[in-house]
Amino acid sequence: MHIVVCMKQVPDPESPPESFAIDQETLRVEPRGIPPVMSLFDENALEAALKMKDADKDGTRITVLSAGKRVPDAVMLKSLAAGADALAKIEGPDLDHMALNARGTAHVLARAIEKIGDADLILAGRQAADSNAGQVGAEIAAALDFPLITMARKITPDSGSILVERVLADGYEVVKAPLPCVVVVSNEVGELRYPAMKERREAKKKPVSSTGPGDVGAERIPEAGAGLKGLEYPAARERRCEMIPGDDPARAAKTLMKKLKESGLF
Amino acid sequence: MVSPILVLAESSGGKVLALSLEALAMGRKAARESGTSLAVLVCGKGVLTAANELLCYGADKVLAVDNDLLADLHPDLLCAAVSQACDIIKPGALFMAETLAALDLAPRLAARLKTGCASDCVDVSFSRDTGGFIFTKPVYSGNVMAQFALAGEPVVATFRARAAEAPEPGAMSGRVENLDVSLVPSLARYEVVEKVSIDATGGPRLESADKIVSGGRGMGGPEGFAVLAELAKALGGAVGASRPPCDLGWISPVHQVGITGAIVAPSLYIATGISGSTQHVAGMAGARVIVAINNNQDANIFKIADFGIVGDWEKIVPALTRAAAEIAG
Ligand SMILES: Cc1cc2nc3c(=O)[nH]c(=O)nc-3n(C[C@H](O)[C@H](O)[C@H](O)COP(=O)(O)OP(=O)(O)OC[C@H]3O[C@@H](n4cnc5c(N)ncnc54)[C@H](O)[C@@H]3O)c2cc1C
Repeated sequence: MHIVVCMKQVPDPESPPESFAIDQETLRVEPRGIPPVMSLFDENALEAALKMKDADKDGTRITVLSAGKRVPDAVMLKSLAAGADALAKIEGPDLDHMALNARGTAHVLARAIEKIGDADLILAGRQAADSNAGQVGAEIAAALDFPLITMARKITPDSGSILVERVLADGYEVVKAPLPCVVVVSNEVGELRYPAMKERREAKKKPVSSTGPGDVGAERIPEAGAGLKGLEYPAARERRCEMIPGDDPARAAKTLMKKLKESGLF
Repeated sequence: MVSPILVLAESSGGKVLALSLEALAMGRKAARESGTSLAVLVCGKGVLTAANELLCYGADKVLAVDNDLLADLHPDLLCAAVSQACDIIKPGALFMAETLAALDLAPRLAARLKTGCASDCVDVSFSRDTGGFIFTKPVYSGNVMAQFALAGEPVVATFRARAAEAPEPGAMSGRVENLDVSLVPSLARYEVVEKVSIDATGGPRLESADKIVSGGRGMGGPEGFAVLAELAKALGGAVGASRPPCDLGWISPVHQVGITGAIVAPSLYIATGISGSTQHVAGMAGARVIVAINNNQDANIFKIADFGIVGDWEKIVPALTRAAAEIAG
């Protein structure tokens, strides 16, 4: 089985709030002093692929696919070290990952997947850590006319098809889908495994390709469904915190309960 | 005149979800500002009770698609049903609550209709200049708010919990209109083999709990959550968690609070061993009183708390449980 994992690079979402600076002139967020990383849910998608590979080492191949103005190998190396077999990058000036719309991204990725040709399973993360949009998986499925399964917490191959556990509000459901199909993965799959030093070294020898959108037949990028009109900082949310000394726990607990009572809580 | 606004409501056990009523409030606002009408739609099998309930919320129309094939709300069939309903109603915008079902449906539908989609919005307003709606949503972990104009008809938007207040029900008026859509089983491109329900660990549900005691990575393991559960019990509240304990399997993911978990606004929220990341805070900043317990006095969580105790939860939490039991008893 050939699994293609779509991977976006994002400014590290765990960075402190002041790292996300708004440039009103260009209407963009300029990350300040923070490195790009792989988007968290896309890492979960890769982990889902690696778990399938664990179960069938020889029969499973994983290609990580990423589109961007520039996709630094340094960011993506982690995916190869964790166990992906190849990295395919689509790079070009029109593919600014900070500005690209979901439909445009999906169009480029879908054309690249067609070009790859033998992909059985396409995985994407549930939403990107920067745009938080959650649309690329659905758009790829629509562009390729493949079945779409979302909110996956487990994927298992099942002779020519796959079984997917989908997260529901009160549990999960198991669905069976034909291949090829697109599966959108949620964090319940588990964190991406941590590669050892040796795997990191070996990752540098794995095949990395870079092509332009034109090479995969995506020279015209479709109009965005969503046009950015404004960016602003959220209203400050600070409260004035009354600190209660914690060195005497019993006393701290009593004091807190008294204060909560005064706030009308009981 | 601008095309109507359509709100897609979800129901569970015959009752309309509170989150859907909040989306309806957003729909009302958008309809008022743009001078258009508001319709509400429910889809499923046996949804007429829920549809009738919706007659109390002042929408111009309440529509129902009641179809046996929607019994399991298979995403492909649901998408086909809503898309056909849109063909009949011709709305300018389709609103829904950001639920697990909407996480699937909204982008699926927008991709099918080739219209613009904005998920997890916290506001909508009508722009007289452009004659269209502007949607506001948090991006970059909630550190930036972005405004989007969406293209096509209907544009699709989902709204974050607590972005609007659910309206109070009024007198029932009008009657439910049934929409006929044609569905066939073969529209489902995958098969549902089995449904498994996971019981949340007893106690009240997060979203409706009046008091929530949450733990983070600082709890160190599942044992820590057992200690928290006792405090929650003494307070008559629910147990919540930040993301790491859910990902690490210390507690079921249904307890997660934050942008990818539940958005809650209880009267009391106690954050224990939680550092206060923007992704977590966005899920609980609406609580009336916030208490933080953390052994690091510089933790961000104290900035958004009303009361803070600096110390080890292993000592503080059991003491709180005793003090709470005294108050209750
Ligand atoms: C796209 C995306 C979505 C996300 N969605 C969510 C979400 O929905 N919800 C969510 O919570 N997170 C979410 N996150 C993760 C988030 O960024 C943080 O990583 C997470 O909230 C941190 O959890 P924490 O505070 O429990 O852990 P940490 O940041 O590790 O904090 C642990 C805290 O415990 C304290 N501590 C340690 N030991 C003790 C002790 N003995 N007594 C008292 N205090 C102690 C420490 O001082 C520290 O402050 C998301 C991240 C991304 C990128």
